[in-house]
Amino acid sequence: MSRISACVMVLTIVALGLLCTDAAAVSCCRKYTKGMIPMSLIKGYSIQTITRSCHINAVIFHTNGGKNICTDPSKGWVMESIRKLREKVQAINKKNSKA
Amino acid sequence: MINDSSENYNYGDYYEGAVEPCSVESRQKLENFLRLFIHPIICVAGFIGNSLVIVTYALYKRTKSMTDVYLLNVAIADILFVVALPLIIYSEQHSWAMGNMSCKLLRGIYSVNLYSGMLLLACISGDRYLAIVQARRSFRLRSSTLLYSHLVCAAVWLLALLLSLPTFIFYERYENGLTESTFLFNNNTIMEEIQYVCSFKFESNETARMMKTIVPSSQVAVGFFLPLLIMGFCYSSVIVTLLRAKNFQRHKAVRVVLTVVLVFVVCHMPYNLVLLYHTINLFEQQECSHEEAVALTMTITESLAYLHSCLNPLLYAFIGVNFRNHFRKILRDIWCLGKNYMSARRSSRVTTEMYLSTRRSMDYSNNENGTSFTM
Repeated sequence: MSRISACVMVLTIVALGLLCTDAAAVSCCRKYTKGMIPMSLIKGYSIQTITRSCHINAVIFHTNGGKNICTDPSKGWVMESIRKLREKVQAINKKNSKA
Repeated sequence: MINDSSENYNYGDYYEGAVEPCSVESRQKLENFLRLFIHPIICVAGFIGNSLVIVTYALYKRTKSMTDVYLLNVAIADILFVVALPLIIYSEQHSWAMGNMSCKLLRGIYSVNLYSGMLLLACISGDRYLAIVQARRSFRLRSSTLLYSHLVCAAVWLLALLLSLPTFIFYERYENGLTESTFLFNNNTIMEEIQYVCSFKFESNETARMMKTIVPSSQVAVGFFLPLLIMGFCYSSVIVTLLRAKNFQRHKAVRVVLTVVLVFVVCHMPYNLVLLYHTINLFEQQECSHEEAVALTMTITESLAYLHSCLNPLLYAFIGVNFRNHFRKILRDIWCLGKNYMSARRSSRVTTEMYLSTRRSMDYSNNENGTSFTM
């Protein structure tokens, strides 16, 4: 019995070891940046909501410097920045469709 | 020129105060270590221990008392847990390739067994309370209504299922990452590999807030504090009664009771306290270092709670004299089967002796009157 147990244990450990790779992990904002981000630095944004694995709602601005900045979606400047960004995207798409 | 200076100033000044999403790297490393070295041991030990309990009951002991019914159900709950856990780990490593149904099923089973396992331990303490503290009053009840414990077990499993409905409903397999990403230039977007997670997913913020609060709160309340209260009351009464008794075995019995309660508290209280703390602060802004410390602590204490699944067979089943006798009988019969196979050509006299031996064992079984608590 102990021999069988040892074999089962070793096999299970080996099996789980083979299966062990990095699982998909979620990086979430947990706090908001206090200051405003200049519009000229922003190249994109993403929306974080509490309806999934994260626990606060946030807007994440992606900047030219490679930073992902957590901001408070209840702030007026944040929604204004998103609106301007969307306008820029639409303008760029319009220009590309003309070409 | 002035504009350039101003922009550079904003650039440098701004980034110093930037707040970014929290890193999950250190928690990831710890989880990988636990999954590679700790959880396999727990799952194997739990599978072996609980399998032996179930086999012993199924083949030899039968369920003659209320406690036996509860013990069998605890073993079933624990073995389902140690089977579901490696499947969950495998699925998480492989983007839940088995699909949405396996996501709901495995997470749901995990939740059901958490509740049923804990509540059944409380039932065992209640049964022991009736047997020892209310001995005269409960004798007729306990001996004549084995059905009672079956009904209680059915109620426990049903309650566990009801409390786990939110998990069955809201856990989904979905693409990892943030929603609604927009970039000025598509070629700037980093091409990340799509990964899937199995986690809560809600339709609205209101539902999310409610469920993210209710689910862990009920887990702490019904899955830990309620059993703790019941066990605390019942076993305290048992200890008081045992200490007043003149039975020469009483000190050993008291030690067993204290061990059972202590292991329960040590295994489950740390995780439930951290979960409670985490739930209270769930929707507040926090520093990443704080979030990381809480997450690491939850991961460690959760593994400690898993440990209870493979300790239960030792604490509850194998500690009883009757159960150990039956288990030894299993080993003896296995040994005899082996010898019988090797000596298949022997005379019928050996067969006759084996028959008589079996009959004596049955007679001995019928004469047992101790409970699983007798040591």
